[in-house]
Amino acid sequence: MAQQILKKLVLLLLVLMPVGVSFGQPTADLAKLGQAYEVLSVASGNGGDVDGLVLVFNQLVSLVNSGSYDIVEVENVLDVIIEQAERINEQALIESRNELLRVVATVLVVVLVEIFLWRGFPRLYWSQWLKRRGDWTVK
Amino acid sequence: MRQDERIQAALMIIVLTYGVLTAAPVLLGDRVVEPFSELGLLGPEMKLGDYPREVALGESVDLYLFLGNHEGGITYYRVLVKQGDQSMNVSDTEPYPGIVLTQYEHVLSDEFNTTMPISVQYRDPGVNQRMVFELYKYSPETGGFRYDGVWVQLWMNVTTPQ
Repeated sequence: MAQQILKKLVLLLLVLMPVGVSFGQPTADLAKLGQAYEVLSVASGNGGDVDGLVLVFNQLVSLVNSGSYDIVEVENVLDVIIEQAERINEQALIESRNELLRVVATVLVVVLVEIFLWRGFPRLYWSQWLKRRGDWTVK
Repeated sequence: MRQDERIQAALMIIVLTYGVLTAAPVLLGDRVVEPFSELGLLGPEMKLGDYPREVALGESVDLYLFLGNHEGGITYYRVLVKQGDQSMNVSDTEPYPGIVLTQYEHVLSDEFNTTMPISVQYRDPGVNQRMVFELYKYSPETGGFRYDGVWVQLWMNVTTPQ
């Protein structure tokens, strides 16, 4: 689903982008660029994979730098980037919470196993030893 | 040490090691001890060196700009290219007060880098003219770019075309 939207974004950019865009033109001050970057930054900070969106964002920056762009179209793409990044962020938060729960559970299990090994292992060992070798006779 | 104690100790060490190896990455995280960004300038052959020493006014200087991100998160960069001379040094704290020739912007994910072709023209002729490349980072707090103190420069003689 996310990949399909990403493909559509790239296709839309290819249509919007004039041939031979250079980096050398001054950037228009689009407030939404900063907003989109912030959302991407938050999603990335929470462990979300936003590399694909960063790629699209960079193409958009190049397009804006070229000076020949339709502001409505650019803002539409930025809206999609923001929406996608927010979705990735939500997913990343869920995954990081699950990961934390998994680690906490593992640590608890390790502590319980350590307590059991410390207190119960000798008894378990010798009871098993006696069960297996208790009928041995010393000659 | 009795046999059961030896086995007990070995099992406890194995379990404890597993616990530490599981918890350590989460507790320590991907902390970046010293975040930094890279800015580099490569010659026309995409190598360090072979930089042009003389250029005619109006003629494009073709170079490659290298950016590297080790900030621990994605970063929005802006590079300002300025023309200057020997009258003032470039500072690590204050932006160089030269004429802005052009600018480039790029967003990089953490531990990513990019090398982009650039083409810049000087505005004024003169001997020992410097082309200063300053790195700026976007700050979500201020909603603008701030000078990162990272810069590179290229000295050139800019001649007037005959």
